Amino acid sequence: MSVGLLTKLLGKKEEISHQPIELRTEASIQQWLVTRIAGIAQIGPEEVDMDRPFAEFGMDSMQLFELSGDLQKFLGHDVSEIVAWDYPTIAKLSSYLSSPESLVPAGETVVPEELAGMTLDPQATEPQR
Amino acid sequence: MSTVSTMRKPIATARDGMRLQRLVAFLVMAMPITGTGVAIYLIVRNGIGVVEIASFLFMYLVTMGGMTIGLHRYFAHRSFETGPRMRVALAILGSMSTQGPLLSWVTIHRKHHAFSDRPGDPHSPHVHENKVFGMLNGLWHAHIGWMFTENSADWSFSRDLMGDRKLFWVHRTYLYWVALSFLLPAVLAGGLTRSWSGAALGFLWGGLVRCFVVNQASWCVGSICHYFGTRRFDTHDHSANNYTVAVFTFGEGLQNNHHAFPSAARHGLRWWEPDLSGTLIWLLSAVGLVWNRYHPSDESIEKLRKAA
Repeated sequence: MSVGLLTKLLGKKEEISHQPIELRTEASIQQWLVTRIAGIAQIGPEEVDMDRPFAEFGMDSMQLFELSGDLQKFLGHDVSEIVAWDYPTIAKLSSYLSSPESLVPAGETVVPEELAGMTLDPQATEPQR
Repeated sequence: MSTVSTMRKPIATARDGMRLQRLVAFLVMAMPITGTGVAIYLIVRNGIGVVEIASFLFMYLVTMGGMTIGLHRYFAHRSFETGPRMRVALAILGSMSTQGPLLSWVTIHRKHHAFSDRPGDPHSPHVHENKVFGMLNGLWHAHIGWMFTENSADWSFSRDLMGDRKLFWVHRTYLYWVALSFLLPAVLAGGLTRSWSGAALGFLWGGLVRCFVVNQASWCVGSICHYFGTRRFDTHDHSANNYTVAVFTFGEGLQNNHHAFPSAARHGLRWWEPDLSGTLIWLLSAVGLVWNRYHPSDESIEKLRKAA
C-alpha cells in the first residue's frame, strides 16, 4: 500500500483541517504534479503535457485516488477523494488547488442523475409491497 | 479537455492490472464449473441430501440478495435509503456474490445504463467497441466474454461512493469476502452436522455450486434479457422482461421494466411479476432497516408504455 492510500484511509480529517492553512502557488503544485506523472508514465518531466488528461498517462482509478492522498500530505489540508476526476489535467488541478475555493470543505457527493439512471418523477411514491 | 488531446493515443495503459483481472475471471469461472461437475457426480453416486440443498439455498439467498439489493438497487441506483451499518452490510453481502469489487461493479453497471446496447455498454449482446455482433457471438460476449475485456480498475462512474472509508475498505478487501462466501457454508454445515463431510458438502454446495449458478443467472440478465422476452416499454435499447431469468435473479430479469425505471426499488410492476428482491426490500423497510423506497407513479408508468 502506498503512502497516499494510507494517508487517505488513516489520516484524521478533523485534525488537519483545523490548522491554519497557507495555499501553495500554482507553479509549485504544477511542478509537484509533473514530477509525479512523469514517474508514473515513466517519461521525462519535459514530455508531460499539462493539458493532457491523467487517464492518458496510464493512470487507473486506484492511482487517481492515491493522488488525492499524496496531495493532502503535500498541501497540508484536506483534499477531496475525487479531485482528480473533477479536475482531470495538471493545468486544471493545479489552478483549482492554488485557489482559496479548494479550502472550502466539499459537501456530500451526489450521484449524477444520468449515471444512476434516475427518473425524476414528482409524483413518485413508495411501492405498496 | 481539448479535442486534440482526446485524439492522441494514451502513453500507457494498465496492462498488468488486466492480466491479473483475467486470471481472477478465469478462476471465478473454472473452479465453480469443476465443483459443479464433482457435485453432479456425487448426486449420481450417492443421491442428494438436506445438507446439500440447505447449504445451496441459504448461500444463494444471501449472495443473490446481496448483489441485487446491495450492489444493484442500492449502490448503483440508490432506489432506497438506509443507515451506515446497513450500507456496509449490503456492500459485504454484495461482494460475497463474486461479481466484482464494489466501485468497479457500480461503474460497469452505470455504464451499462448510460450506453445501453450502444457503443460503451460493457456487456451488450448487440455491440462492443466498434463491433456489431451476430447473435451467438453477441450472447457469448454479453454472458462471459466481457469479463475478460472490461477493466475493473475503472471507478470513474462511482465517485459518489469513494468518500466513504468503510465502503472503500470493503472494496479493497474484496477477495476476502469472496473467500468468506466459500468458508461460511463450510463452517455452518460442518458445525451443524458436527462432521468434516458436512463441512465438505457445505463448501461444495454452498460455495462452488452456488457460485456457478449465481454467476450464470446474473450473466443471463446481461445476455438473455437483452434478446429474449417481452417489451412493455419502448426503452431505446433491447432490454426485455424474461420471467424465467427473473425467478433465478430475484427480479433482475425484468430488464425492460428496469431500463424504463432504473431507480425503482421494485422491478416487478405487476403483482405477479417475479421480484423476490423487491419483496425483501419491502420487508427490510417494514422492520425499519431501509426507507424512502422509490417507485414511479402510475401516470409515468402509463406514459412510457408502448402504444398498443
